[in-house]
Amino acid sequence: MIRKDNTKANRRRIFFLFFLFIAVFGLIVYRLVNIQYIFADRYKVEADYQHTGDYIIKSKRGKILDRSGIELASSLVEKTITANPKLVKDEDYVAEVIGEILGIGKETVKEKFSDKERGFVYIARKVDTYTADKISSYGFEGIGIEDECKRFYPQNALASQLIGFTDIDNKGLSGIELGYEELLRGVDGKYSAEKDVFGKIIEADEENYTAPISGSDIVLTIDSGLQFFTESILKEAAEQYEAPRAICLVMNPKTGEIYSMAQYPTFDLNNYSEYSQEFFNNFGVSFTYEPGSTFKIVNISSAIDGGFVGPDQLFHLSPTIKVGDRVIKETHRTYGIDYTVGDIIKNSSNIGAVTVALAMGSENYYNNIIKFGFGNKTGINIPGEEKGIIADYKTWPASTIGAVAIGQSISVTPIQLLRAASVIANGGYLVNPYIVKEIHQNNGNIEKIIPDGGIQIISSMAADSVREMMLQVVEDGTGKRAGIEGVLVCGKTGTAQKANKSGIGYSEGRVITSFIGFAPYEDPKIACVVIIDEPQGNEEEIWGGTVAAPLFSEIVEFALKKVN
Amino acid sequence: MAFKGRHIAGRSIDNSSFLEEINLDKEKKRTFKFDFVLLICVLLLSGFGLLVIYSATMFSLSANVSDPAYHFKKQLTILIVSIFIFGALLFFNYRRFKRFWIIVFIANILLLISVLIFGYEVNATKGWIDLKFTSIQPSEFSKIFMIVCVAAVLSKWRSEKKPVVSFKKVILSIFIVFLTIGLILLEPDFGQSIIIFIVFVLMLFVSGANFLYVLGVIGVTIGGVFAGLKMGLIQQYQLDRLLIFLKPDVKPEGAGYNLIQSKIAIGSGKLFGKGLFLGTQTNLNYVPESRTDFIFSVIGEEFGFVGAFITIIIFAIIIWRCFKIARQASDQFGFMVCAGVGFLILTQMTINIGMTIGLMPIIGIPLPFLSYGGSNLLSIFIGISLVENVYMRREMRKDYEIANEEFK
Repeated sequence: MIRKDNTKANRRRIFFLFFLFIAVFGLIVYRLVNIQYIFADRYKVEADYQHTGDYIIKSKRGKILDRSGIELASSLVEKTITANPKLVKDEDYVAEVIGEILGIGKETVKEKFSDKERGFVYIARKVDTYTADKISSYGFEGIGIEDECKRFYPQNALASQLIGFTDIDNKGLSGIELGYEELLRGVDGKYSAEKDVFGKIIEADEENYTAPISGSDIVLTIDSGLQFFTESILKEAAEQYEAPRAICLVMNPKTGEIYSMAQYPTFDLNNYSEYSQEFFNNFGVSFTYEPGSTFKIVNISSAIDGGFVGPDQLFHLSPTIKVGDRVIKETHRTYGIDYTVGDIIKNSSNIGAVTVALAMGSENYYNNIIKFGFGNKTGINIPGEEKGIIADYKTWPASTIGAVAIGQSISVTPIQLLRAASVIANGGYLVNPYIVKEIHQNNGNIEKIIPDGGIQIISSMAADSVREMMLQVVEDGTGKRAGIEGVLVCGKTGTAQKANKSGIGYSEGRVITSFIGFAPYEDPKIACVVIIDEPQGNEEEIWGGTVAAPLFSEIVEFALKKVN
Repeated sequence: MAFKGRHIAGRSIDNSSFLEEINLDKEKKRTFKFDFVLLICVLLLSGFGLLVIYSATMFSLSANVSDPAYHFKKQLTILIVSIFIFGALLFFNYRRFKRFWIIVFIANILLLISVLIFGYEVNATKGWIDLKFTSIQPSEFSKIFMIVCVAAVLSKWRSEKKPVVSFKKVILSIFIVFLTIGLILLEPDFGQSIIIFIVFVLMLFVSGANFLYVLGVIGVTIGGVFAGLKMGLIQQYQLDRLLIFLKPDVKPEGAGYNLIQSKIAIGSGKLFGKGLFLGTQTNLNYVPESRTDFIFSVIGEEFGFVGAFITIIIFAIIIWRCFKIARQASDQFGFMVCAGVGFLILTQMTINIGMTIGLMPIIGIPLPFLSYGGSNLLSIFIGISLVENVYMRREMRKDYEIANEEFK
């Protein structure tokens, strides 16, 4: 009996237990104060981090349209089937049903459920609405159906390199899709929601909801009809001459507005994954080559503008000329002749071009080349633009001025050359080529791109005199086949030997034929460059005037009808 | 009530007529001599537990359950049954358990053997018997049975003149306890085994036994654990799991995960809690086992420090009442039973709450009165009923009864 036997020992034990009792409660309360008061904020932050999740609502990607509103790229709403493996209950049954509806088999679906650590897996993406509705009608727990935009290109291969494509998450990978990614994508919306440990959403938080902002529509300066026409002309010619590639740009020479940016070969944008990487380069801005004789217009116009030669100045030209350690020959002439500057352009005289360049000197010539925009990007917002190569005149060996005079030892892009030709066409202004005409924001605002008209780099007198010379090229010179009935056409042929693959010297039989020009002579509305790379055939018949000029004629004729 | 009863009794002796005394005697018999403080605290905790269980389960239902109040209703039913059994046991003199402790012991052993044969597993522990309409967890009842048996063995035997805790008695109690623990370890249920062991040591400590016996029991057990480790009966990982609370960050995916999540839940409740049904961490399953072993996390999260503190205070009152009644008991058996029940609640509460706040190892034992589970609730109600029983019969023994007992 404890009350009777309250011995000293027992009282000590009771005291000890009482102390233990107090200590235990004291310790627990101390610990609680620690957790719930002193460090409470830290735990609170951690708790909030765990049980709330941010969810993204994808914005709708903007369209890409041609100048008349024809859709070149648009977004179709498609369904994505997702699963939260932690929440899927009767795996076998669910996998069987979904596998059958999607036609991918039960095992494939079941495998996706196997990773229980993850709260989110894709079962199938880009499924049509009908199929998705069928799955949703079962109301399986843990199976989600989300809207997702699938990029669709109604014109398939039209302007494929220009437009570009997106990845499965609708992120632009090339072309306009990449260059205008930010505008096209818009801003994703989001909301916060409370979720349980399995990732199941319990309650969405209205306050933290941000609606998505759809992307802007991009209206291009491209004319689909002309684009289609140029592409088919290029394809025909490339196949006829067994050329590996062909390029054509059509531009308004006064504004820089690009009407067509065509190349061969093209690819189907809706199935881009079936093509190799090399199909995706936009040659109009990225193909660099030695321009050959077409470059003579830069040379001549600079010299006239600088007053180094007069437009009607007469030169006696021998069949060969030695510049530095290199001898430059005339193509078809073995005798001396008297040419005016106009004749040099009309007959594409190498010796004449070199003579004029020498009259100008390396420094002046180089400065003019830079002024014409070579060696720099044009600034058109198309990914992959190259700036070409032009070495500083200070590093030029003695022979280089002769080479550059006839369009060698320099590499340019088609768009740079077209811009240079436009300087002649518009009376001396270096315009900035552009490809986007308008940006239609989703709130209805329309931002119109107004061309700035460029800066004058040569006098209109110099430009007009070279324009006159280029008219003669088509009227009575190397470019007769570029003529259009009833229209005065100005142009310049080019036939450049291609550098060896090793980069040293030139190889016989591998040429780039090109034609550059504009029309009509009186008030140029269309500037155009046509380039056929490595056309095959009899060497005598393969040059700019025979291969590229007829294509130029057809394209510019069509383009003039379009703009009028 | 207790004081009032005493007061009336005292007055009757001092200055009342014979007639009055008879009347008062009758009244004394009719008076509900009952510790209402204890009962009210117990009912408060159990009712509070119902709410918390409802909160913990409404969002996270087990498979095949669609009613959010399913667990709430089940626990409510068990609570009502427990209160009935509690009331019924009050009419049964606790001293009979002393005389028939051997029957209690045999029943205990039979139950524990039958769970090993007929039981089913939950979380790798074969601790439940399915009785079709409900299932029971015998190890929960074992704790009360063990308290009764040990109290009977360690208190004064009829053959003794004076209450002495002899070596023979200690050995017998060790046999009872270790047989019980052994059977529970076969399930295996470490948590319940540890609780039984601690309660036994504390009971031995207050029984008046020589302190060397107490030390001996502890020493032999620790030695046994090491021997078990050496012989491979106990695996190192089992020991590691017990000690994970010391460094929960080492294995955040295992037992450490439970502790970290529990602390986040309790800590994020701050001083005043997030409100009933609004605990995100516990209700959204971030804290595992939130309706059973980690029910205190729910309290900490939803009611904050204030709620947790009040809960602990109510526990303290219950335990204090158990010890107080133990000291008022009319015999050593009653004293031992009450002390045992008090120790049981104290130990289980300390370990359970301690593990949710990182003071104690993570061992799977429920919180008395609060955790979801019928066996837990019913067994602790039986325990409280025994304590009330001892309180009610603390002064009803006439001299001849004691004399009679001592002669036998």
